[in-house]
Amino acid sequence: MIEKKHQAGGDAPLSFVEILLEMNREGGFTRSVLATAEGLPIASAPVNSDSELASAMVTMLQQVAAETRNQLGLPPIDEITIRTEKKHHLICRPIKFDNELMILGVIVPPDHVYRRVTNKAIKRIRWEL
Amino acid sequence: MFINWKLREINLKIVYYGPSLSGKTTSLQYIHSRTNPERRGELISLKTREDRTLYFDYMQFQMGKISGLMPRFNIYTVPGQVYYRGTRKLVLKGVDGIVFVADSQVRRLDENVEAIQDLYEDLEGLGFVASEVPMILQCNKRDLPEIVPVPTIKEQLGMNGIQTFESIAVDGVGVLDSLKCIVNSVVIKARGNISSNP
Amino acid sequence: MTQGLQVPEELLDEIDYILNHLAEKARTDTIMLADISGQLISIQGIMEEGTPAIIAALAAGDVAAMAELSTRIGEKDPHGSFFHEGETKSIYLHNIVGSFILIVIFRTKTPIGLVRLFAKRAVEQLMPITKKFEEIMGPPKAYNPDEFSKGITQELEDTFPDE
Repeated sequence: MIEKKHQAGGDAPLSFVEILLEMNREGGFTRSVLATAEGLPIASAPVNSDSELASAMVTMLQQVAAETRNQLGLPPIDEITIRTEKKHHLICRPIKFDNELMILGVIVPPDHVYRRVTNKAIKRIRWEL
Repeated sequence: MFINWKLREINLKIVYYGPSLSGKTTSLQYIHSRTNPERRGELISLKTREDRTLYFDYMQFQMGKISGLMPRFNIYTVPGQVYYRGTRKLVLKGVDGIVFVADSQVRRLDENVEAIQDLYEDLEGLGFVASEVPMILQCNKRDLPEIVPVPTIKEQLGMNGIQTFESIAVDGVGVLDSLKCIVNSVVIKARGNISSNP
Repeated sequence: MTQGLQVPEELLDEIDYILNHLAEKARTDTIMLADISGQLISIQGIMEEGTPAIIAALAAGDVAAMAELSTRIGEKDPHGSFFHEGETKSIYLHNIVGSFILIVIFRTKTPIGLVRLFAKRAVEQLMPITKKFEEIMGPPKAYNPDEFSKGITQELEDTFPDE
């Protein structure tokens, strides 16, 4: 069982949590997480979600995707998508800034668009760094 | 030595070195008990389950401002046991003065010699010129039977030119004398360092 | 080899600024910079419990022990970071090029990634400044070395009063 200690909640700067909350609201997303390249949580929304597990998972996806890209000689990754049978999407978007890599993970319900809203959130995240 | 002009502090580091059970921690405990409570910090001891020093013992004391600078002394002991060599080396980083605590008992003479050799090796490994580091010899346990005469200890340790104090650390005899002596030596050395800088 | 440091105030101001920025961004309680021998250089933020000098000395011991541990398992350059997760407070230690230590104390509910993200950035900013530390030996100001060593005798008496 994962201990729910590092919840990206109360003590995270309002900016990151706020950006995620607003993105969720605007896009109608159920959950989102911002993680470091090592899979550590930076912020999550809603505040009480298990950010440790989610961060680790989106980072793992990102690493597999990066390795795949490498092996196949593809251009840089902009988005990794997992689609469930019930048409939910898990979207992972790498964010590069200076030497830093972060990953934004979002759960999108069926029939929702997400590109514009996640693009806007990424811009705001970069702005906060 | 570390001078912080913003806070107007001069930080100096003194290390008590010597073979295991020679009385380093006992000396530090005595020093702590005799330091003006307003001027001393807590005594920190990182011990093993057998009550032996693991990492180091540590205390800090400060003095009133002298010439606008407040001297702070950081006093460390190192673990004597051979297998804690790595720890000893890290405690010696940035050292300004050393009190070598020798065990005066006849049967411990070899261990003293080994410890002083380790000390010189550690200092060299850290880029020090051992002869330039202020050092004091504290011959401890002078109250016990079968002890080596001080001149013999100095001879065996190759510390003939080094200022030496006899001590009985459990009773506090000679402990403060050697501390005061190393403090003075460290300050004289620090003065030289500061003066020689542009 | 330089065995001592005299830190010019401008450098300390720059360090204070970086530590403050880190405290603000990562919402941490206390941030300290110490040198590898355990001497405290700067402290920012609040410290409800503990003595900064002792924290710095113990952190130096911890970092050195961790470096030794890393070397023993075959690490070539043991200058990384590590953190201790406590019940209410956690500690993040970053070994800066083997010469300095960044100490971050934060509440355990603060996301570790947040601390790590901004601590890493702070370390990048601190690197050139900490390098200057060993290059610049600031000249003493209003300081009389002779007076200093004379004064020490009286101060020793006051520090270790007769019983």
